[in-house]
Amino acid sequence: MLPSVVRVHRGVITQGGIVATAVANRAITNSTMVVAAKDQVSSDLAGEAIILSLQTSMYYGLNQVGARIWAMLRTPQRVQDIRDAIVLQYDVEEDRCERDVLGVLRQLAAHGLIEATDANDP
Amino acid sequence: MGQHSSAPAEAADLLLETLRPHGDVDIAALRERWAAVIPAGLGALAEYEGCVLWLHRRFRELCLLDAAPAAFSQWLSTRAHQLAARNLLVDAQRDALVRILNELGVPHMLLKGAARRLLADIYPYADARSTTDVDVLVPAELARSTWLRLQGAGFAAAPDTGGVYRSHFHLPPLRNGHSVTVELHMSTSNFVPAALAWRRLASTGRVAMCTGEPTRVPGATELLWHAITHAPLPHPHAFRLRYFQDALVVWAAAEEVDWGEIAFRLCTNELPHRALARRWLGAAARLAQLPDAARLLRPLPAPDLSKVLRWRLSVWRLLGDRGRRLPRPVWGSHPVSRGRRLLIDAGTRAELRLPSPPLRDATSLGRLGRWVAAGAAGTCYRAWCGFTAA
Repeated sequence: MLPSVVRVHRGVITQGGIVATAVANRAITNSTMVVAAKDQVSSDLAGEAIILSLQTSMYYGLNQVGARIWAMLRTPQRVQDIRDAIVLQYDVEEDRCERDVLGVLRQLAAHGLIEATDANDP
Repeated sequence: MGQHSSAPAEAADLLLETLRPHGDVDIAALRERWAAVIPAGLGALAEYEGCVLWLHRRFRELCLLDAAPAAFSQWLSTRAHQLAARNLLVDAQRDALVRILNELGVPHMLLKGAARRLLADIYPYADARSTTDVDVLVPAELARSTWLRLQGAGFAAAPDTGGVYRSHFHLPPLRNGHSVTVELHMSTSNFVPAALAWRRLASTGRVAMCTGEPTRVPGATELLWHAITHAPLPHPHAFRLRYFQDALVVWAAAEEVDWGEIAFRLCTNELPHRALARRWLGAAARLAQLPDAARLLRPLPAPDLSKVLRWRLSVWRLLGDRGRRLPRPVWGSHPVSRGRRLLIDAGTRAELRLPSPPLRDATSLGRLGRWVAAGAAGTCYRAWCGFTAA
């Protein structure tokens, strides 16, 4: 089973405070292309990933599996390719993996950390 | 699971042993000890020592997160995430500064945390430390003009009301709307001429990449020397683990350090507290368990940090925040926060034979008050020593 993504809602910047993030209005499906947004920085924290949104000054923690997904998002990826890579790497059923990967990506999109485009878009 | 161990001695020793960056660790034994430890005060101690990210890294590497008491592991993870996010902000500021300096054609050398975070591949744990600002060394003749040009690039200078920076080794800090300041250094300390500082670092530094932009970072010898000279001796804060970490990560790595040069500089006026600096280095070497330390830099007395940490933990436990919904901050100005630090400083001073603090900038009454407070704190420490010995 995939451990769920961990979100840490804490502001780190004293100036500006915490700003609510825009919810991604595009639904993410298996055929969606996703890539890390530009206005963020991230680093590895002993196997986990920490992502800081430079726009909102909020940071997010991803567990090990989330960090693996995040690492793939450095370049544009099709959601189903991410799912396949995770299925290969972890002992998880495809259906369950798909649900969890989509869940993680929707959360990231909701916080403006990834950009999503339909694979059929020109 | 064994019995719970409430003694500060066991908890403090366990903390030191976990942090020690050597390879031969009995993980099973360590897990057992963490499972048995009572973590009261340990979070505050780690916060005071500035070793949260270091401890979190070790916890992950040694698979201790699920062994230690859940509340402590949870606190450690949450706090590490917070500090790592703050470091990301510093990194972003560093990257922006490097880009601007390259555009301006200003040769530069990143210093301290900004440099260490680019060198984690070479010096393990060098990046597992919180950083707050970006320090960069530039040739002295370019410093003022670069400082002014940065103000044209969106930075603003902090007012130098007291004239502190008139003869200081760096110019007044610059800010640009982000909460990370930038300091342009002409030298690495007030005791090193600017030209010598630049020559030393430029001749031994190495190129590093900062999100695609080339920059330069100091070599091993200068990193170690900078760690020694930036431990705020003779203040007891110099003996916090975060300062030792800066030195021992360089020392413990396989990189070549010019020990002859370090030994030579240890005898010069670059260090106003030479004997203390040796004791400080000895403590760092002992913490890292470096066997050849005394041979390389003799004489190198090696004070035992363990007792100092036990005292500090005892203070956090005795004057802790158990039951309080909002704990008093470790570094706050609340009388309890200040009182705890006063006690800790008194113990560090007594144990490491540090000089008494100068009582400047206060009225006679203020000086008397501080003197009495320091005396009372020292008495508490001596009483604790007697009690634990008995």
